[in-house]
Amino acid sequence: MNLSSHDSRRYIRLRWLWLIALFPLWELIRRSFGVNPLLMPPLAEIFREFVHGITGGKLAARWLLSMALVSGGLAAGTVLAMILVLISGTGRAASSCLSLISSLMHPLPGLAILPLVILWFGTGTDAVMFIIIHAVLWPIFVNLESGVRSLAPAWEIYARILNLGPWKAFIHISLPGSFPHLISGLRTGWARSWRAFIAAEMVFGAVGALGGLGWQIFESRVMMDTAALYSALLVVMLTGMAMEELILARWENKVRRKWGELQT
Amino acid sequence: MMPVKPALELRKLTRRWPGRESVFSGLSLSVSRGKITCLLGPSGCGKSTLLRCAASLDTVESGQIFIDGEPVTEPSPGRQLILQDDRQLLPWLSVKDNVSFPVRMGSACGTGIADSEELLSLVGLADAGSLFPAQLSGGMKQRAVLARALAAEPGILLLDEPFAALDSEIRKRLHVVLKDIHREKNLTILLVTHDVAEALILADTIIYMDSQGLLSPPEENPLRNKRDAESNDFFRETVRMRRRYESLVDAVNV
Repeated sequence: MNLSSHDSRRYIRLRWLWLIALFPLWELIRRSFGVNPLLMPPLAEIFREFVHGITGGKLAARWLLSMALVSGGLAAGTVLAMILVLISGTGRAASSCLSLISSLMHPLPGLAILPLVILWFGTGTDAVMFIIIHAVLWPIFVNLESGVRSLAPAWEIYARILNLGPWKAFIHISLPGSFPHLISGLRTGWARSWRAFIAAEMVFGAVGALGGLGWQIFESRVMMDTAALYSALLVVMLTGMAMEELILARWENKVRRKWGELQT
Repeated sequence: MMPVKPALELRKLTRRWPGRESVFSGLSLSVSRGKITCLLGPSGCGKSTLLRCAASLDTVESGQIFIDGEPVTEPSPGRQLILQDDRQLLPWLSVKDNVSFPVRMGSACGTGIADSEELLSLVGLADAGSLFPAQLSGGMKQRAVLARALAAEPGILLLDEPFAALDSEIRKRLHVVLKDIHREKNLTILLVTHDVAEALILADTIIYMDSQGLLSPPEENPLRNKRDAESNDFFRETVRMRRRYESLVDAVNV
């Protein structure tokens, strides 16, 4: 949907209002059908757990750990994707080889390679980081490569006229020129890595001494503490939504507007 | 006295598209130093291909390109190409950063100290340095592209219908800007156009290119050095050239 800056802000505000409207609906369903509080705890209890988790520091620390790991994986995956795109640009053989590898790896869910990852890295932070990088790398690579391929022909001509050479041309023309595509890749990569991390932690167990949000969900299930489980799920959902709508999508729109690709 | 070498010389160039007849064959062209040479011809006759070859961006099947008498095979910042394209500026850089780009990349030919603000003033964009390309009109973009090309301190400007997409008023203003810059910087310019009036306004020498990719002998522009030429002269020459030009277009259509 191609919305102007003002319309886009209104649209996002409306979506967050709908989110708030869902809370009373939860309570309405729970009370109307007399649902067991273990399955659907009262909203107040979920919020109490949520606030307690934040103020007590445990949920906040786990959220921070999760964000740090996923952000680290995003950064590493982005750098790796850039290196792969640079290699891919060296010739047809490299390009076709990397294209094949990305076609094979891109559809492969992180969870599907968990048994192998456990064999290779054990169940520590390295294994989780590998899963995150796998989730991030391929969508960013595919988007970035598509961006480099669709650069304005006039920029390539200009790079040739200035005799920039392949490295300078990549750093100063191709990379910044495909920046909107890179952000698109980051959006997909972020969503995939966030899901992969939460899922991986529920299989691997706690990452580090404290564990992340995946471990919080797993722990709450074992303790049958559904209010804490829902509060952790709420954090996972809100973080995903905020990251996508308030940071990455806005960033992409801002860049595309600055470039004249979207109306202001 | 030694004969003066042309600033740009294309000698017996042949260019073919794969699986097609040649765009041009055995074509030769000389561009004198400090002059504006205008290549006038109908669409599709190979003018732009010739200009790309002159910039060494396209490989030729045979023939050679000489700059100041020296053969060249690779593109160089000394031969700046300006296109009609709306997306020549780098959209992530401000206008000022776009103009200083060749200097920052170490690609400028001369002293490499061209002042981007001075160049922006020269093209009438003194106040637009902090803007981004998306905030500029079509005419302002072409001025900024011109300033950026000048920042590389080129000896030769290759212009591929740079003003074709602009409305007539802006085009007139840019003709004046280009003439002034040409005089001030003593540039050698090869301009490709299909606009007869543009050729008469700007060129020192006019060369026709027909649908077969053949060049006519260079003709001196009858209105050369007559900036205030009588409007009757201008009208008469425009009509004469347009007739000749239309005969080339008809040849394409046939």
